[in-house]
Amino acid sequence: MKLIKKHFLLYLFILPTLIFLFIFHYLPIYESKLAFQKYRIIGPNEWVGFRYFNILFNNSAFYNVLWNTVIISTMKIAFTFPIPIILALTLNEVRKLSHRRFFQSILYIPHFLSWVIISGIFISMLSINNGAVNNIIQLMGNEPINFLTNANYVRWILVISEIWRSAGWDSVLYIAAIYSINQELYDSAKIDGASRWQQVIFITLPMIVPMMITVFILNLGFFLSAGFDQVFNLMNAATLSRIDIIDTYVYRVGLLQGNFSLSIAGGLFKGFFGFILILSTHFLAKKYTGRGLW
Amino acid sequence: MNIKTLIKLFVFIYILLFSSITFSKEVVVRIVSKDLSADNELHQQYMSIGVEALKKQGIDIKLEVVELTGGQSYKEKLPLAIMGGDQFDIIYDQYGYDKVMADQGLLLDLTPYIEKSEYFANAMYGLNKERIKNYPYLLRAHPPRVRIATVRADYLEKAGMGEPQNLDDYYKMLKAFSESDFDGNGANDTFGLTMTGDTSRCDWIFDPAFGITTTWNKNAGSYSHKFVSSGMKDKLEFYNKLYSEGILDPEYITDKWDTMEDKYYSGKAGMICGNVGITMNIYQGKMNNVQGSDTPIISLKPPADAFGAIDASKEPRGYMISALSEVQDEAFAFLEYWVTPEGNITEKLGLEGMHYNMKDGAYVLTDLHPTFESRFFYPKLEDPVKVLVLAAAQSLDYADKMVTFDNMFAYPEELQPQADNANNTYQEYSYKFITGEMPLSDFDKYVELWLNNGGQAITDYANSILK
Repeated sequence: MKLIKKHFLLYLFILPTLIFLFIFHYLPIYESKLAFQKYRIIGPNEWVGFRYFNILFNNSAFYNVLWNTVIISTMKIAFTFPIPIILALTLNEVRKLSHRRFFQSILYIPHFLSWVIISGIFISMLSINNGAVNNIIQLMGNEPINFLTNANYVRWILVISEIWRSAGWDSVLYIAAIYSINQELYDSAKIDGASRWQQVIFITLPMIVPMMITVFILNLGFFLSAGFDQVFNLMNAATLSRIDIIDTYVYRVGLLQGNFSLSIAGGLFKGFFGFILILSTHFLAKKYTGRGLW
Repeated sequence: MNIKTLIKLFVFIYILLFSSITFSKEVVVRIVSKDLSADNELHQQYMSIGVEALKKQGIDIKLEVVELTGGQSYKEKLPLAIMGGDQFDIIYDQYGYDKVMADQGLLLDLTPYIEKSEYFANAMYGLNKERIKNYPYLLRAHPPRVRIATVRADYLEKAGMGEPQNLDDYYKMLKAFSESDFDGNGANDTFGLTMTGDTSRCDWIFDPAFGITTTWNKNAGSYSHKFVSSGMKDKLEFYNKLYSEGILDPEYITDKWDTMEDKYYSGKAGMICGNVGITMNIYQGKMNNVQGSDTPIISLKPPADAFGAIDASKEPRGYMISALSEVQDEAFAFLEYWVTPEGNITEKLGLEGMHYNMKDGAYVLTDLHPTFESRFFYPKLEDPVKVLVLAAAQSLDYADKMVTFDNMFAYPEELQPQADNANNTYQEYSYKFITGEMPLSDFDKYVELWLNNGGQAITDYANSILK
């Protein structure tokens, strides 16, 4: 109480945000009980226990979808996690400020495009009839490849398009972390004869490790999300079994059929799994690196 | 009591009296539809025609077009609004949410209203009447929503062919399109046929040619699904032949409907399967726009003189009235207006001054008419003036004579994931067979997989409810 009184104005500043968070992020959690009820438009909902979870789990397609989600998320984290870091480190080495700002802006732009546009771009580029990529392949004397219907390539298309869209924007956090590093450390290193590369390895990287751990843990919380908008726009009948994820499955089987309870059951499963992942990663990170989310 | 208080009291009583008189005459009818917006002046103008007409009959309504919020599309917005407790009197649905409402007794049974109506009997097509008998909640007076082959008339002429009469003729026509340079761009880059996403558009005309008549077929005393029938294998073989000979566009599976149409208008595809009826007017309009001149398109008779079976169990889309509505009579009267001879004029011609003009007592369509679409129904009443292009009139004629009814049914909640899984298995493997990635000799392996992926469950259910 003393603390609140002492910093009353500061608490007042964050109060609207806390209220917003409570109303729009915490209160709605209560309605997740719909996953255990048969929804009725008028009148009380009927309690059905784990019925909708049984409907989900008793269908073999759900496990295929779950496996797809795990694979795609793992691929995305493995490839999209380090790239913004590399980008931030590279941008930091650009000496001229105007050049750095120019490249930063170019890298941010894809983030503002919706997946409808990005999928249109990739579909066009990868088109088997006159797509840019297949034109190059044909120039090299090979047969064109229908990338978007090929089971071996489609997951990589998701990863590459995700990198193209988000790498620039995700590097913002790391750039900010790099800018906060004390310049004296670099000066001391220079005096000691450290090369530019050594400064990156021994100063820059270690100093942004806390940020990396935080971002990694937070990303893991969304591990089972895998990107609904992206997958929805890029999927087709030929590749559905390879890239159908929990979100698209629940959307098709639950939401489109007006079966909200089934949709919420799927969402709850995802949320619960993400919660366990965040907690376990936080404690592991705390144990082995001394740093976690809190 | 002083004079000021008396005046205030008098004004208060006057307002109360005036309000009660106003409220006692006018009823509010709340309507929500995918194709109506409260902010669109043209829509408001359109609605006011119906409201004014009802007023002349002594039915004074205030029509409130509700703008839904929340969600990305009407498909999401409607259930969210209803779940949130919003009440509507007239509701349009095409996404199956009507079933959820009907199951909970929230939709009005329209049978007594239709029986009493002097207009709906003439306005509804045979399919509409069959559907309303089975499912009296969704109201629709519209031609069967089947798809029909459409080609450019000049392409047929250049190929030296008449309209195809059977499957063999279709094959020869499509082959001629793909082997020639009818669009005159100096490149042999035209496909005979293109589709969008899957083969369902052209299955409407090709299914009957391979003996695929209904979704469930009785063989040796039990029902089996068309997805695993011998007819389906033959049809996939036909598509495979088109694909391997370069007649079928290899990008059909990734193309959206607008890309498919774009290929048709620009001459990159000789044939597409489009919606019957007034939609052909739109195709014709766009074709003329792209080609820069009058480039007639025509609709072709299905090769087996029948369309693929259409679901007659219920309308997939239409208008419904809430069972909780307090203005059910007024709501129905508003819907009924659009199938009267007067309402038919607006539904077919559009807004006077914009889509048509009156000249010496005759209707004259403007250049904007091709962009017009009816808001409620497309009644089976005579058009006030010729509004349909050749392809549209042809398609309606074929649809009316050649539509067949299906025996499909809605799956219960617990079988929906199984049905979805079975459907996805069919979509994936049909593509593999068509492209040759999997040989048709492996069709039995696909059947086994389909049965394991939910097919057996839905087949067992079908055998329990179909007689």
